[in-house]
Amino acid sequence: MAEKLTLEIITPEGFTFTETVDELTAPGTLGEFGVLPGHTGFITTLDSGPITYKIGNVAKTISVKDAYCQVSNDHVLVLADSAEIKE
Amino acid sequence: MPSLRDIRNRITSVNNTGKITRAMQMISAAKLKKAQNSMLAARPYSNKIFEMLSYMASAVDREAYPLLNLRQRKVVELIVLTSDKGLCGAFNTNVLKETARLMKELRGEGIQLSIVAVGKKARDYFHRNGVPVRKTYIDFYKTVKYEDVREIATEVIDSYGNESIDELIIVYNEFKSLMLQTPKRARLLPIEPQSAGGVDDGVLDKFIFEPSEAEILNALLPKYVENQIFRAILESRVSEEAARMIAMENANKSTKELLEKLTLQYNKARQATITAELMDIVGGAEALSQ
Repeated sequence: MAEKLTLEIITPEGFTFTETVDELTAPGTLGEFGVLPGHTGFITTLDSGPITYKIGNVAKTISVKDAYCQVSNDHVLVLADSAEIKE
Repeated sequence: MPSLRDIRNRITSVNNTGKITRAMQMISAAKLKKAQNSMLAARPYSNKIFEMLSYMASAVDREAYPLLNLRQRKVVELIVLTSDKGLCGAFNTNVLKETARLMKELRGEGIQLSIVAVGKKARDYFHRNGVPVRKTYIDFYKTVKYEDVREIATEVIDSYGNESIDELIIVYNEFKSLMLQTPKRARLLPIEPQSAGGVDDGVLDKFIFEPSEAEILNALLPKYVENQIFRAILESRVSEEAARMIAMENANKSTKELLEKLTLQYNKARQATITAELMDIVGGAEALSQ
């Protein structure tokens, strides 16, 4: 599958993170959801928690706090109050 | 004519002042850099949240959301951003002048005012002029944290929500360039979503909202206001340091000029004493030899 997602996380204190990923899961307020390339346009609020994304078979996690998520045209934009990359 | 010692004392004192202003200039320059960085860092978020909001707000019914709803202006709240410390040129004066002008305008229209002072200089100004201040925030300029700003924002949004204020205007120094900071007033509430030209009505249909459009917008709107305040504070902070840096630079220049003048005066006075002494000696020698 050639298609990929662009994940972009931004916080007001200057944390920006952009990565091309294969898939991701995020903690939506109404339950966790996954996004794959080709997802329909989608705006939601996120709970504080981890966003997990996969590049190939490697999974990585970023935890976000109080976030909004907008999915459009294979671009996932997350606006969070704060974010932290987990090792 | 001041004595040699007087001039010497004066030179020392000017020199010491010069040391302080030079140090302050350097500190300001460093702080400016830092403040500027955090201002730039906050920009992407501001832009994106504005984009997201404009998307949504342009298509919804404004009446349904209190934060978007225009209502009659009876009480207007002003947030005035100044610095905690002085020695920064006309920085505070400009903002306070602009505030005074705005207050006069609003009072002329028969509107009641409520004031939130941010920074010691604003607090002192209102105190001096006998203007009651509803709320004061001081001493958080050193490191502007998003959390501190949220506290201010939540408080004003609440009072907007329970209709104790009908409009919210923020007055602060806009950072135009290092040399130029101008006072600016911006209306924060009700929110005026600029329907970005490219957004067509169909755009909302392209998105699924979860939980619901209304809930997301209700969460997003306060966030937007928070962000606007955060941005204004950061900008004010950068303006402050820039203003201080320029003020200190000017002070340095005047110290240098003053020192030159004083040194010249000192040397002249010294020369005069030497000449006088020499005359004395020559006169004395002349008298002896006769």
